[in-house]
Amino acid sequence: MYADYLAAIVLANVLLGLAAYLPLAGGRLLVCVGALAGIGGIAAAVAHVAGTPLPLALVVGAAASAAAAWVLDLMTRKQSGFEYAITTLAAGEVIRAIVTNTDRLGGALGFSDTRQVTSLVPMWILGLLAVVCVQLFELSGARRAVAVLRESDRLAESLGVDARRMRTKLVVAAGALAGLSGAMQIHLVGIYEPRAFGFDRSMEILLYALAGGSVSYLGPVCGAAVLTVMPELLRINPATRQLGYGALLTLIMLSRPEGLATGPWSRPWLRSLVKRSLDTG
Amino acid sequence: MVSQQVLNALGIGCTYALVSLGYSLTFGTLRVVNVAYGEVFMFSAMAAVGANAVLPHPTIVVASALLTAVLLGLGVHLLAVRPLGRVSDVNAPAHLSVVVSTMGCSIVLQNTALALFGGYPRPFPHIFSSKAAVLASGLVTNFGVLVGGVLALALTAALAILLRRMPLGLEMRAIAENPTLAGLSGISVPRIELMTVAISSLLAGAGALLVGEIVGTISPFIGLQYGMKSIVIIVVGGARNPIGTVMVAFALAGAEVLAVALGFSTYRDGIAFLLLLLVGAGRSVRARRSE
Repeated sequence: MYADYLAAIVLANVLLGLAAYLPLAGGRLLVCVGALAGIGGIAAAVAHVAGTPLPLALVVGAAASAAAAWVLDLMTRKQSGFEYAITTLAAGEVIRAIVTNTDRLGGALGFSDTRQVTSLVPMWILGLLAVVCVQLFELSGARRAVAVLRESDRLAESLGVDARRMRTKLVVAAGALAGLSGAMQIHLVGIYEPRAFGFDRSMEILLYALAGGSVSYLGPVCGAAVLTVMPELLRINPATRQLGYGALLTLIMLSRPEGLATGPWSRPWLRSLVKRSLDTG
Repeated sequence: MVSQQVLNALGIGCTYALVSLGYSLTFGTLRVVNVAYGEVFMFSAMAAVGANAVLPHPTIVVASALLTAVLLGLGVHLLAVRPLGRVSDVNAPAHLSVVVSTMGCSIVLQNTALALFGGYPRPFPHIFSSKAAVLASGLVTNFGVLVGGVLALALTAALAILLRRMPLGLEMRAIAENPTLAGLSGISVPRIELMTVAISSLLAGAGALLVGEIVGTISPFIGLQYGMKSIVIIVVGGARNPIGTVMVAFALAGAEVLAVALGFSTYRDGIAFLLLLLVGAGRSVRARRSE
């Protein structure tokens, strides 16, 4: 039973990792995946309690988050790089503030008005389907267009890619993945705390994608799986875990800015790192 | 009670302006965003409290805060910013690696402070006077607000003089404009960068002392709170525009005090983010209309 549950949580976190990965592949740091997942979770729980069958409720959750992501994209069209990251972070914090202060959305205690699930099968089918969709995208020509988009908008435009449209698609797809994950989580755990909407959780999710690497979709899948199972197995206390996450973020960026699972470790990176840090010339 | 609220807004505005000023100096000169700046600010405030517990003397308190700020600021810069290389534009995708690596540092610093000092708010040692100052017509304020206000103005002026009139400021502006060209004209770019980081960290330390003085209590969470608000203030006010920064700082404080006065006190810390979202959305709409 515990193993079933843990496996389903891993799948939910893999979806979150993929949700952070898609915009990152196009060169955008989306720092509100946690809030998007929370919207999907609450929408799915409300739908399920209202009598919708579970598979449909999961789809409702994904659709709600995709819609939220679309609105977010409309609001952030002109931003890029750092400004985009900080604006999406702001969006996540605003959503958290609204959720914390609205009792019908759970308030400060968290949303727990949900129904028990008897079978995890619908979750597995939809979750794996979503992963397969990302895999299909990965093999398509669109993936190469996104890789160019990461380098430069102008380069992508010159190759006939509509940069803005492609970005919108990536963010909406990320929203759908996050929403599905949130819908799974609220039915697995039974409660959605406001903390899960905020900055901390969104950074953890970003770490799933970055630890795995933003070059191939397998990176975030491995990253999310390892970072979910490892602390669970080692029974690490949450404060130490946060500390470790922070240190990992810095170390990964210093050693492998593209992520860990992105090819062989060729040069002696530690020596070159120290050299770059102390170079005064 | 309107004038009392205005006074409160001015006090809070001073704290935002002080923290944002140092931030805008690194942001404007180095063209990178060091997300850990807020935690450097928080850590120096905590160090002041810690030093006060051991040796309660104003000089020790001030020195420990400033020293901690400079050491940590330089440490974060050498560890997490400089090894990633120079990025010419904050909005280039390559710059994201600096954002993420300094976010990692800030998480580490915040959790270290939590482990060292605990998560509850601590009273800040008063450097000037613990007495509340009663102004004319019954307005009550903290003595720190008065000192803070004067110091905020003085530091803004000092920063403007440094940037406009002094050789170091000229070199900083040259680096901000074009680091390659600055290097070719004989400016030691890494040295000036270190100087910039040291000065902005000093401002973070001074900000920490004054925020402690004005607010009265501090906790390991103020780094995130003030850091995020400063980023919002700089992005809205303009990275290389100290006057714009200070104006937005006071505007934000005014909006927050207004929200609390209208009964939305639980939304207080969300207002900065709402402001950023609205400014971003406004820019998107305007760009769309001009297309």
